[in-house]
Amino acid sequence: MPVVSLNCEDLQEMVGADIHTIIEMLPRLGADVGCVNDEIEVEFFPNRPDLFSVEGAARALRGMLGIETGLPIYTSGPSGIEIDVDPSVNLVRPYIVCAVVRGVTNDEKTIKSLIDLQEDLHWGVGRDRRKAAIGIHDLSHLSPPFRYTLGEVAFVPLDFSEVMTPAEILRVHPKGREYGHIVGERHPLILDTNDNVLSFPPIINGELTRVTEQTTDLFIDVTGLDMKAIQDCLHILVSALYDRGASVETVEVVYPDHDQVLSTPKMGNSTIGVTKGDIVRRVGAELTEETILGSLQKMRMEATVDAGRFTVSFPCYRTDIMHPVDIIEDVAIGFGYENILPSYPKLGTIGGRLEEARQSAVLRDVLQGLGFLEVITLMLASDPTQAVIIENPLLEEHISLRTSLLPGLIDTLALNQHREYPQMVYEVGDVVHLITNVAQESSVCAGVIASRTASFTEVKRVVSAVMREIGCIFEVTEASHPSFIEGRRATILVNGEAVGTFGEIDPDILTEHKLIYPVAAFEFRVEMSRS
Amino acid sequence: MVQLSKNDRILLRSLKRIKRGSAEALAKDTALRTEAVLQSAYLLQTNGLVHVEEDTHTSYELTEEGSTYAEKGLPERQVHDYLLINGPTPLSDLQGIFPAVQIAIGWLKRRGWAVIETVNGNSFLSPRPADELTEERVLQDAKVMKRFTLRDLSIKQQQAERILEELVKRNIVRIHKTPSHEITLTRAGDDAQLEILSSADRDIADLTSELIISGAWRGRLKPYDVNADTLTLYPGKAHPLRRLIDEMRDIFISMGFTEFKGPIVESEFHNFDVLFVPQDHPARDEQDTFYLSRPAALELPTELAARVAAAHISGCEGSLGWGGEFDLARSSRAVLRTHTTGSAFRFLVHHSDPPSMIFGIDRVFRRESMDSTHLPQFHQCEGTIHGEDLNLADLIGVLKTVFARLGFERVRFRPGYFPFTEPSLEGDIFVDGSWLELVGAGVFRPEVTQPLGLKSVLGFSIGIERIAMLKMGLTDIRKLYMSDIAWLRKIPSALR
Repeated sequence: MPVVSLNCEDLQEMVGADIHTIIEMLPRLGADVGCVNDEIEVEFFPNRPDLFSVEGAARALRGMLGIETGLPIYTSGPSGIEIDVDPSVNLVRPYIVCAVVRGVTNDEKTIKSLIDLQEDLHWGVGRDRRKAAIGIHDLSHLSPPFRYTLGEVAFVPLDFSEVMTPAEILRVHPKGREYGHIVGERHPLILDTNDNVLSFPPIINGELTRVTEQTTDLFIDVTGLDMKAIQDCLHILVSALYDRGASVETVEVVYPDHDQVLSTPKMGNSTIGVTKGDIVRRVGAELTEETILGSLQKMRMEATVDAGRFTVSFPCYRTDIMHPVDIIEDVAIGFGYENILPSYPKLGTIGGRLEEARQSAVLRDVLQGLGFLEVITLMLASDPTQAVIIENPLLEEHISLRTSLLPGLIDTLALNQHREYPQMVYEVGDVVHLITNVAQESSVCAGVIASRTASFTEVKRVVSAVMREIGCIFEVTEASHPSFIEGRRATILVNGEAVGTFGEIDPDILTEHKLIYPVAAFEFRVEMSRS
Repeated sequence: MVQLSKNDRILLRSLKRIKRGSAEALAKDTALRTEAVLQSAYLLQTNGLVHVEEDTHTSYELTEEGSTYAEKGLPERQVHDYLLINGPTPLSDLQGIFPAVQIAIGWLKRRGWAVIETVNGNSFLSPRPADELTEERVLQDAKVMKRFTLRDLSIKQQQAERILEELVKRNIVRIHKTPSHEITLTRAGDDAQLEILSSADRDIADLTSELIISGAWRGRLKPYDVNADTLTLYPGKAHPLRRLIDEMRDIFISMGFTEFKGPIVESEFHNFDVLFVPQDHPARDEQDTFYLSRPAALELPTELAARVAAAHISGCEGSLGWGGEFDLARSSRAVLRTHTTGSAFRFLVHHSDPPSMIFGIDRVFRRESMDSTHLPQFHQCEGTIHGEDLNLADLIGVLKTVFARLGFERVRFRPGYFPFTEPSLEGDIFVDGSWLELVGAGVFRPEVTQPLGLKSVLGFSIGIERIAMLKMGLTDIRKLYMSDIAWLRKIPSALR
């Protein structure tokens, strides 16, 4: 989940409460608070990118603390600026929305908050710039109208001093190398009327429009593959700037192909309907209309109510709301989870365990009675034979799922070669075989005996005792296997079908694991040995 | 009478003299190999004559790099000495003189021994006072010893531990952990020894069947020392993680839950899509989830897939959905399940009549490297309740009951987030002065329940290992899966 660091002083100032009050309230908004210094590290939920900034967090906290409740009001007038979208961009990055923000006080705190928010949005909404990417520019150096088009116009990229073509940027500039794969051979550019390059989205801005402490007027572009994602980013960003005292103006985005003009940002509120009945049913608390209304206002919403039906208005930065249940959760959060009285569902169901769990329990009882110690080992294995294979493993010894418990038990003995002998350990657990490209999961039981006297006879006595206890009639037949000593391994047959094996482990394998005492082992399938 | 081999006698004779010693010391004393000493010691232990204590011995040694530094000084010291002699020096010059100057600069800055000053666009490294470091004392101490332990150093042990950890990280010092065995003669060993070594006429020690029948035992049985140490006896028993799983199973069954089990090899469809996790959600990255190359894909239930796809694209009744596209090829890709929530819905699809309360405790997989708090595989306890008009208050009530049964009375619930529940919550318990998160839960979204034809569904997932570590006082999660037999033998079954 995204961890956002917020400047304490800035946050206290914007919320209008001291840091202790804030830290106490944050968990009730569903946030985890990490270390507290000059900055606090807060882990917000990924569905609430509007909280990823001092401005957004302060806005929500003011509501929860009752300092300022209800809908925050955002207004925007027209900037008169147009941007033309060339159809060529459809091939690589079809969507763009823009805004103009004026009267920004660009002190250090604001710039830091803005850059942090931009990065968090790139990650949280933009999926590392692929789905959405933001460019922020100093408007004063530019002459509108603007164009969004594919092109090869050379320009000076941010943090560089020489003119470069987009292709050169992808080769040379660190951001070009990092994000070049998103655009490939086609290079979208945002240009002003004099062919000055503002931006090569989603790679890098031009040095020309660098934002400094002298900047007061911003031009913001958000480009991407998904109209909702880019609008979400824009709305969250301009709301934050608005909260800092700036004014927001709309830009006319002209899409020729779709024959439409989009005026962005759209800072109006949206509405959604939800009934009191639905709220009470899902939360399970007897909430009055007043309580519901109060809770919504704490969550920075507003509602009208008519015969038990709420029409809820929510601000443009609440990009997470897609269903009335999303409003219901906000009511519950506003009301406070700690104020909900626990109840217990009256369903009258009867409990029961799996037959497989019962069988395993019997086997475990018997083996423990025989003196075996239970171990639990990882299911990830290194042997690809007949196994399910992982496409993106992290470790060489974890490339597949285990098909047998014995390698894990031998590894356990190897780990314990300096512990007191004799050692008798067992495991009952799942293995997975790949049979005609289908994964077959089954439960097996295996054990090993390591001692000066461990032998085929000893392990045969164990297998016989276990089979007798679970009421299973079995036969054995000699069969060789490279892991066992030739002539000292048997296959367990039940009704003529092979269900397992036992015998003495090959000394070469013992030496490989630095084991110096004989080891006898058994393994059989749990469900097949049921009679 | 106990049968003793020649080696056993040699060892006993030696112990009779020195009472206790390490396996290595005894090997020297007896001129036996260390393995032979251990073999005999364990056998003598089974007869209660000696006691073997197992421990780990930690020692350290300088690496080749470390030896060089012990001679010439740490890189930062070398550069600092140079700066003291030559005054502020351009960085570019230093690079020619010291190949590892970057590392040295990092440490110089961290220690405040030097600062970078820019004059006329050139960066100079300029020295500041530098006291002797504890690290350097350790290096000087270590120089004269091939292998050394914490006790061999001239600084406090606690401090030494921290410094050595740092030096190991810097590849200056190498750590060696070797098992050690301390062998002690027991009282029984001391008493019985003469009798075993010379079989002269004594009172009878072992009562035999013949003696009972003949009555020859009368007045001849030797009294024992009732305080004598005896050999430790280890029963076969369940793994502590298993005992916790069994306890939780009992709790859920007693609360009316029925156990379910689902497949480990799962489709993205059942693991993610059914739960309304958008197809471009970061949890579905190759970074976080194990994808399979064999089998690469699983077959999908066609009709259900169409309904779920529709919920993703355009929502269900009253919902907007995620928009965008839905890729069925992506849905069929095979993964190792990342949670058991998908398994619960697999069950509910085939048992769709309410009411039902189900639970499952099983393994899940995340693409994580192994360290003391992470494993690529762990256990999750999944609970799902299906009925009419179930709500958040019901969910809190059920979780409070579960935690109380597990012995956690002080709990709190706060908002949470999962793509598939709304409202969502997280549950914490209060232990040792802080809140520890144990459960994620929520009321499933209509976008999840409606395509499957379900009523209202509550769900929760509890991490088992976290509770296990808490109850067993573990700080390393790996201990649960890489079994140290000595630890398993020692940890009591009665632990709650």
